[in-house]
Amino acid sequence: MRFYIISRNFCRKMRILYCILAAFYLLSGCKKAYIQFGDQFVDNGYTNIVLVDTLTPVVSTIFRDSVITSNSGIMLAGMYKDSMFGIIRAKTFFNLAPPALRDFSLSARYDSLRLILKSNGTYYGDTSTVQTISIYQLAEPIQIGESQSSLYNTSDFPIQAGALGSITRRFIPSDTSSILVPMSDALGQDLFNLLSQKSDPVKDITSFINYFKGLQIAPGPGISNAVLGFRDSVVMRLYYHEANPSPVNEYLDFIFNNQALQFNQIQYDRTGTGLTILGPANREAESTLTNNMAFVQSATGLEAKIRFPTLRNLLQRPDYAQILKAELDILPVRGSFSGQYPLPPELDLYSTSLLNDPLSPLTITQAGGLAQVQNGNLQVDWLYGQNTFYSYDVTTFLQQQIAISDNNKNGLLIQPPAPAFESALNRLVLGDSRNIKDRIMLKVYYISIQP
Amino acid sequence: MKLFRAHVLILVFSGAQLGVRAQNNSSPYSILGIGDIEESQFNRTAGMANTGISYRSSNYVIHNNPASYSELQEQLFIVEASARGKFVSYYGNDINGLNNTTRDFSIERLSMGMRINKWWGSSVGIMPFSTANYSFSGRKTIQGSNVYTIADYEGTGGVNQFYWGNGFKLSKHISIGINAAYLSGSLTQKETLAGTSVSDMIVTTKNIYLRNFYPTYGLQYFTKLSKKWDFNFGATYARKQDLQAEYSATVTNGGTTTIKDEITKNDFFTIPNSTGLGISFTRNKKLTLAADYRYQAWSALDYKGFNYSLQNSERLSLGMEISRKQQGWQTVLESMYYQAGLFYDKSYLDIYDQQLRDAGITVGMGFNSKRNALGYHLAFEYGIRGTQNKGLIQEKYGKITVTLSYKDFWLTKGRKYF
Repeated sequence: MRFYIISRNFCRKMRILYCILAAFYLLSGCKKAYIQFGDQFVDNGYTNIVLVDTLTPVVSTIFRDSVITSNSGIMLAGMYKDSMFGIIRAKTFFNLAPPALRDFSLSARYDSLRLILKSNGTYYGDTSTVQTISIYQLAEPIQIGESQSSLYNTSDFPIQAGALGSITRRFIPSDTSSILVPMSDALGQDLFNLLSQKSDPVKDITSFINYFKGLQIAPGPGISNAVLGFRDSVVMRLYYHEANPSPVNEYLDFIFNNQALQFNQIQYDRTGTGLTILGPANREAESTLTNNMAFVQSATGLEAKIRFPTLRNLLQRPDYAQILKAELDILPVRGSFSGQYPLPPELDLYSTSLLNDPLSPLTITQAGGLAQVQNGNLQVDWLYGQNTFYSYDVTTFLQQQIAISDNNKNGLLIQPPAPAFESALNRLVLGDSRNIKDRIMLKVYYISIQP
Repeated sequence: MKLFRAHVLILVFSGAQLGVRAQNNSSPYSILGIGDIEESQFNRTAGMANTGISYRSSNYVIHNNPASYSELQEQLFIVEASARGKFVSYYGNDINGLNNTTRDFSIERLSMGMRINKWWGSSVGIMPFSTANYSFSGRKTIQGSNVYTIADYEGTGGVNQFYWGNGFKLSKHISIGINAAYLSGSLTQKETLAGTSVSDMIVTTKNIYLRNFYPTYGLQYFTKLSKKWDFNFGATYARKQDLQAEYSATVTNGGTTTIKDEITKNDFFTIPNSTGLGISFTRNKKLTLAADYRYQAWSALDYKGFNYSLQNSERLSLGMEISRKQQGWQTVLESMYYQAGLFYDKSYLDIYDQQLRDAGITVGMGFNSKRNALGYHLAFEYGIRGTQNKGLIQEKYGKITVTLSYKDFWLTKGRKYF
């Protein structure tokens, strides 16, 4: 029997075998069962997630000479006394544009002059008492200083003696209807005469500001307990009437002019508070010097800074592999805030230069890949006051910082986002890691790998 | 001849493909030790409950005892491939009735055997030594908090042996052999920590790479008891051997790699002294009755873990075979054979003071083509392993082993006869 004769036969048999194998394979397939057994035998100690909350951040309060307050769209006026932050006094400066010229009837007569203010809904302090605000005329025009581009909380321009008008009442911030402040009739008559004669000072804005430098709204005289916020859509309205041919009441509006030149002067007197150690000579005070607290009130130049000098202690743990997540909870000290002195609703954490200039706020990447600025998600526990905190995801920041091997002074500045930054007086007193009541808390989760 | 080679290639290739896809049988106990130690030999003795320490065959590679290679037919060259399908049902307190079965199919063994000269037979091949395959889930606490995450565990891998066995006929009645095996393989355990509010998915892959030479020595004594009866005695012995164990790990967090293939330690895993004894009686060269006893001294190695330890393992098996032979030209040819066997196995695992037991029966049959060089062997095994006591798992399984053997003459030119 020759071999090639066999091979045909062999092929047939092999085909049968292949069929058996294929059928067998298809029949058996591959099916895996998930048998819940063995977890007690698994050596699962190799990789772990470990939470560390002993890496205490260091907190300090930063002092700024001045804060840009122009161009905010908000006018602040008022005063209050805060036992923790001292006396705060806010005045606003702005100028007005003349109305368009028109022809008057010979019978036209001046009636009155009013400044019309509208609350923007914000306030700081106690608005339950009666308080006075007064309007003054500026003695010099508002000007931005040389080599500067803005006006500051410390900027000042002289006023003419004697108020042009004032109003004493209970201001209700939520009432946004017009507040009419009676103004000097002598000024009103002057302006009326200029307008009726179409004199040069009221022909255009520049001439008018040369003549009428602007206004200041200031608290007092008398006691004030709150700083009030007004919209910058302020109007000085001149009322007159015409008798001929029939009696008609008319008015002309001097409207708010040039946002860039409107600013809020915010003065403070911290005598008697724990903040007196801060000043131009000492621009940073660790929380240990201020009773284990740090202070934020950006419009008066106070900001807190957080540093993480013990972060690299993590590297000394033999099992440390990688920071998974880091959460920073900032706790306002109980009793430091109230309905009168509410907390800043939003606080951002800014990376900063060595000179404490804010660089960019910490963001968190949303599901869609969009970076969103973290504003602290303030939770307020009005009932017990215990669970009030701002919380931040500082994972990315700390992952960057832990890699820096030399003496790392990098920190995060706590400050509200604009426009609250320069135009809200909301303040925060936060507890450092040794505060008895409320402590700042850093939770770092890391991957632990057993060596 | 080319056609034969083509077919062998196809088989090997499909086997390799199957092998890649296979190994799906969950074997929860394989988390311990070096996995499930393979007790099957994937050869002709599969139908006799792998009873073959004293078995000698001229046409089949009997890996059970290297001394048997000297019995291989002169000038014959044998290629054998075995595949196994396995079906397992699991029973236990925590086993969900809907998802308690697994099945898979894979090529397990490839070997070649040949008689080199009158007194020397040799074989090379590859087959599994142990396998690990399990999956389950647990919980893991985030240390320092009271939060936990779900942890899934999956183990795969195994140790293979590449062997070169040689059997030498010392006299008319005595043959000795040595099986020089190189054990090599890795056991991989993958831990997947589910993502939590503070972490992405963390995957830890731990790998133990084991390797070393592992020689087994064999002896066979064979004689005629009477005109009708033949008697064989066989013994095998393997000395305690340390397998080098290299532990490495990779950890990934989300998409990023925290640690890549870091070697965490170098250790060793010891395989203990192993002894096997077997006897067989053959009547008229047709009916064979065989018995094997295998013993491994694990206790002395003192491997212990939480709630488990490795204990001495024992295996007793009995097998019988009826062979139908025909007188061929110049020689006797075997056309068919039928086999049956049973075994009882105390494995090396002792969990909660319960030594894991395995018992089962086997049947098998095989035939050799009269027209060509192929032999087919089919064996079925049914067994029960483990217990449901103390929250343990019991496995009821069936295994089908298919062995294909191809024989050809080597160093012979001209006509071929079968």
